[in-house]
Amino acid sequence: MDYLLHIVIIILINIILTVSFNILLGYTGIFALCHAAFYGIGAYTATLLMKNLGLPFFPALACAVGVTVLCSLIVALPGLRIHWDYMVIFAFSFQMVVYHLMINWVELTRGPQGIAGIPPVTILGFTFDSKISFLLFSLIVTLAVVYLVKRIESSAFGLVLKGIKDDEIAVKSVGKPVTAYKITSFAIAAGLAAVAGGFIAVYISYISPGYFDLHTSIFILICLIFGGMGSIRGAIVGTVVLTALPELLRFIPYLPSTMMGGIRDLIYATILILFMLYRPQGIVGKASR
Amino acid sequence: MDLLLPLLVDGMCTGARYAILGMGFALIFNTQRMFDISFGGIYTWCGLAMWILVAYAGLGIPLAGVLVLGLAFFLSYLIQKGYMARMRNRSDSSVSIMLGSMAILMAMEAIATIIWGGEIRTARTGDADVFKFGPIQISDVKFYSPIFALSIFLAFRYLFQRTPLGLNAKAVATNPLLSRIVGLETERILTLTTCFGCLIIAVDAVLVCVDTGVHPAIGFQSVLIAFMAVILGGIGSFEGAALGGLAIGFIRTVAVFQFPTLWQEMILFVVLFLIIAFRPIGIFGMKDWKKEV
Repeated sequence: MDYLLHIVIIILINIILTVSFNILLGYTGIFALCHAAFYGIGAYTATLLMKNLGLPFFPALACAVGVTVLCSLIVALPGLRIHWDYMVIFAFSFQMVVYHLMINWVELTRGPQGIAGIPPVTILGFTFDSKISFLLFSLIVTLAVVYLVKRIESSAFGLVLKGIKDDEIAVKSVGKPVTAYKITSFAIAAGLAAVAGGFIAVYISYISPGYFDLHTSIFILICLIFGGMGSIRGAIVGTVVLTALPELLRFIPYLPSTMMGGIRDLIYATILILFMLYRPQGIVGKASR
Repeated sequence: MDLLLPLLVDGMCTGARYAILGMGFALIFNTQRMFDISFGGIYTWCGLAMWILVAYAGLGIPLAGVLVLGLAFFLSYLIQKGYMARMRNRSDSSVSIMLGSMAILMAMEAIATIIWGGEIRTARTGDADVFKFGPIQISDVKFYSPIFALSIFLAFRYLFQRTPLGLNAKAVATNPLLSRIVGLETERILTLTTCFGCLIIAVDAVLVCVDTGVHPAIGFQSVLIAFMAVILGGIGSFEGAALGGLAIGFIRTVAVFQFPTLWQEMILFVVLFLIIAFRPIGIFGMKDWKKEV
């Protein structure tokens, strides 16, 4: 039972990631493969503030969001001046560097061992340390995030973002500051990823660089492509299916645990290969015009 | 002073290897004008194949190297024919091409992990031969890397400037539609140049396998280095990619000597950051490649 609850909580946290990545790739059409880096920066900032300075969860989370938004500017400001092809590489190398810092900045991050013993969330004297209470807590937060993104999608702001994806020059010609919009969407996406980072830290009460590597970024991307880019429903469906699917591997008898990671990656890669060729709009998405 | 000379030699040797990567990717990218990164998977498999041929089959390093180059060409041909050609047929968006090729890279990496595990494998048995030139000592791989890099550079420069394949590839790169109208088989030319690009990249895989060893995750690293070489040198320029790779090798070697491990990878990122921020077309880039949006 606890195992099922665990999977549901992980799915909820992953939904925050996919839905926020959808703002970038699905709406604005910016392909930045560094979402796990923002996720990691959020998780590490929140953890370090709680462990070293003893801040409560919510102030720490707020600071984490702030720091991550600032970091997103490092990618967005130079990256968006130029053609998106460079942006891809730039974001890609940002992801590599952040991972590298988490591993090698041992004095701060304790390197590959990770940080253990992160305190659970306490609100008004109530501690969310059981699975079921944390499930409710993360459900509320995930719903709030999904609602927020839905509001963004249907707002004037969201329409401009979609316009940028379809025809940037047209949006520019009606006088919209396209770069400012792109940077804002970057900041929103990074901030939401930081929220997910704070949650995974207090939930598992342990973080290590392995959670935030390139493969996590690619996983978020594949969830979105599987479900359907540019749709919240697609992002949620993709996350649920692809988070739950590899768990089935645990029930195959005699499968050495060392092979598990490889097989999971192979499944994801196969899905990406087939979807890119036969159904680029995802399982929920409508066929493109 | 006695540190400077070995440092320069070391930088040149590392730079030569990165230049090989850069030239291979430049060949692919300059023709396709798409980020087809499936070469990273071929890089991983070629490195592991080299290890198998030497450590298990007991072949000599030169023979194994030639076989591995053949394998690279063959694998690349299969991937291009079987998948990338269909992708190119289906959509001309560079995001799709990049995602599709990344999926191939991931799948090849995953298969390598499942079969061989994540350890570092090296084809070298015993100690490296060391060449001595006065005060400088360099290992055999480091000695051969610049030679390989230079011969690849000359051979493919000749190929691109003199032979029909090279000229056709240039035509396809500059104007795919017009090339098709005048009767060039664009798809065949794209496939062939990509195969040659992967062949060049496999040379580096062979060198790495003999020198420091290969592991499944090395594919993505090779992609990053190749990207950086091409961006630094300038998109669209073969010579630029070679020089870009060389420069990155130098920067990295100096960084290893001068900075703590923590900041070594940061240096490359900072360099990339500065190039993108101040001179996005690179050292030898073409101004009109794709206009800034």
